[in-house]
Amino acid sequence: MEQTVEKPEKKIMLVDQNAYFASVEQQCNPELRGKPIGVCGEGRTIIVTASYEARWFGVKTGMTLPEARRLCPNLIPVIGNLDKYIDTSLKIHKIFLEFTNKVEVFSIDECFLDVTETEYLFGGAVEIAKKIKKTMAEETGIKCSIGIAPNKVVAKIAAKSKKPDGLVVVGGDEVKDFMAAIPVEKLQGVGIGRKISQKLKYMGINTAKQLGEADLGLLKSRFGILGGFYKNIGLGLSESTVKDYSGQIPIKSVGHSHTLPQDTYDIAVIRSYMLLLCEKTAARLREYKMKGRTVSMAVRFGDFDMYASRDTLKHYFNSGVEIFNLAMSIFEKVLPLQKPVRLLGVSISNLAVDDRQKYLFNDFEKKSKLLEVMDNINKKYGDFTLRPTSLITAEKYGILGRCGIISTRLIK
Amino acid sequence: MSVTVIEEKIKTGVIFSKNRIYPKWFMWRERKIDVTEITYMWNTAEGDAMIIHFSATGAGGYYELSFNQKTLEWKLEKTEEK
Repeated sequence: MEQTVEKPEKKIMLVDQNAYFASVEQQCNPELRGKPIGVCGEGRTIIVTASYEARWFGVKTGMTLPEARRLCPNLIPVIGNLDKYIDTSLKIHKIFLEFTNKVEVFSIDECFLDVTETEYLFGGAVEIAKKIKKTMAEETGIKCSIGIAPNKVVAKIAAKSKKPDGLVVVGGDEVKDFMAAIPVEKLQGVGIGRKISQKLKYMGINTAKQLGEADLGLLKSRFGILGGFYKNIGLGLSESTVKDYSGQIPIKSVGHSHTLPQDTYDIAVIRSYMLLLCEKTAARLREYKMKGRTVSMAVRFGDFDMYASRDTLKHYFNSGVEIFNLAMSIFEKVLPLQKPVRLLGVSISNLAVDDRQKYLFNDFEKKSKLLEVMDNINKKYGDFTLRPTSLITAEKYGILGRCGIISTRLIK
Repeated sequence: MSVTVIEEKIKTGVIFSKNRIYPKWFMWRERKIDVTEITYMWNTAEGDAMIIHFSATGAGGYYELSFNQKTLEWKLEKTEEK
């Protein structure tokens, strides 16, 4: 007799740490608990994350401090500390790994977990979610919202639908009803950005249900092959699997970005920052024993307008100077500057393992050995203990050693 | 309310519990400050030295201390005294 085995319904979770940076700061300093705070960058007045107490007044990420203070006069600005947030994230990953090895890091404050195969060990997916919430609160003091659904798209929307401290479960047979009332602008973060949702609205598509029911030909004619992808999002369908934590390639690209303390037209200052970013990027790349071929450079201007471009060389490299030369050649396309520069970002992708091959030419071999010696000294005594003289200019402008990191960190 | 960056070496009294080190008091500018509560801990690296950071409250306010596990040096990194 032939027996058919039905596959169990997938149990995918999205855990979203609520007002993450602000929550960490409130845990650190009890004086900040229950108060409206806004986490900002050093020397800057942009709100990176607002606590829920500030959000109740309408304070949002990306607002300037004066804008936020108009809405919430008692807002307390707190300078963020990325090291603290990364270390807390790693502690939270450890909690997740107690329940499944299928933990995919989506961002510093969001992870997908697939507990389909392990839920029976812990009394079900909902019990796992409750245990995660309890352990996170005990060990880090951070609250989270959790969405449980048969796929990543619905799990993410479910987690976003109840904040803070929510737990929303959407079963396979409930997906259609759940998605019906979701406005398209709430699909941001699952593949439909702000501009796409605006375009959908112009087309008269206002809800996920309408997107799911939209004519595939129409969507394809408007968005190309992505039309089908968007329709599936509307239907609450996704085939994307949750990656294994240890199997994730932690690095697809390495980069740094930095918001300048003041907007500037000064090319000398811009060059110094760019060099610093490139040296930091190169040092990290070598630490990972990798090299790359494509350099991406992004510049944000004072009016928040962005310019980003990339360039690829035929050979692989991992020296700061080579990254800098390519980044500056991209930057030169925006010269002469029409508006001041606010932020610079550099990253390198198209990576390959650095097999430490011997160079045929003495010059290359010397450079390679020099970088190796420099890296070993810096590894022992700290970043930039030994540094190119060109970085002295960067120091002259008071450029800090700390720049934002554009890559995901995983527990080693 | 504002946090002041200090970054000064300090003399610190500690206890060891559950394989961890915790500051109990420290001397800063000829004052002995008792640590009331450790509110948060995180780690960073400086070269090959691992640094443990502590957020703490004491009688005078809020403090951030760091302990370099290689040099065994304690620092008062920041404070927000009332």
